[in-house]
Amino acid sequence: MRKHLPAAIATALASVLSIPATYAVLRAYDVLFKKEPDPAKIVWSAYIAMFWRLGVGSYVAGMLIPLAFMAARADLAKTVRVLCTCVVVVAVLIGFQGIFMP
Amino acid sequence: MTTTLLLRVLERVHGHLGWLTVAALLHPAIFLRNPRRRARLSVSLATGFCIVTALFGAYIYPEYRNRVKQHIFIEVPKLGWMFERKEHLAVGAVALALAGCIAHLSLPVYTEDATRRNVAVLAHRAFVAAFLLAFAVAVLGVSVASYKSF
Repeated sequence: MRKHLPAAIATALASVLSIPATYAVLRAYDVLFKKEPDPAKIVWSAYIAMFWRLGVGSYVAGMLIPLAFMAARADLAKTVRVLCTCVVVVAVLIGFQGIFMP
Repeated sequence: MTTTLLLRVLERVHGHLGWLTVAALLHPAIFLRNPRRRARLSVSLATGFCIVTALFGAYIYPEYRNRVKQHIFIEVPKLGWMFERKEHLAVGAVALALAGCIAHLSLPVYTEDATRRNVAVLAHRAFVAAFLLAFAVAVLGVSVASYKSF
């Protein structure tokens, strides 16, 4: 187990980063391609979009686990380098979506 | 159904914790500039604050939607959209703080120097981004809460 720990941690990082990335993409898709009702006219709805997007993000994170683990096992240094860049990409993605596509 | 008083208390605790989280996230964002620096306690506390604040927010969010959201959108739509922005940015802040925490705490696991350095840089970047997002979240949260609350 100890031998696989670095790869497992890189996998965990990839999974965590994939949640806000998925969230931002889903919300951007909603804003750009779907017609939404006016929030001022919605009295009540059982559907909480934020929780739904987080759920889908968690699902994607789970799907990513085997792929990220295989990548980390194959080349840990490269996987970590990619993740290091991904942090910036994810931050820009969620920041841009949050500010310009609420 | 949650009482209004409890919701008010939870909302205020959430708001105060939010600003504490911003302050706590600034610490690792500055300290981890040096990849050799270790700040396990600071990183753990900052991430802990972030997660607890988010849990408070998630708990009161359904009631916010039921009782407050529509009124804000009717009266001042701009503020309603500001709250929507706050939600999205908060998701990013929590996830990035968590990623930074995992990366920093796992540094001893990586034996190769270059990889360890990259993980340390990842942790620093994650905390800087989390701080910036959390700061924006806190400012937007105060703007909305000062207009209308439970």
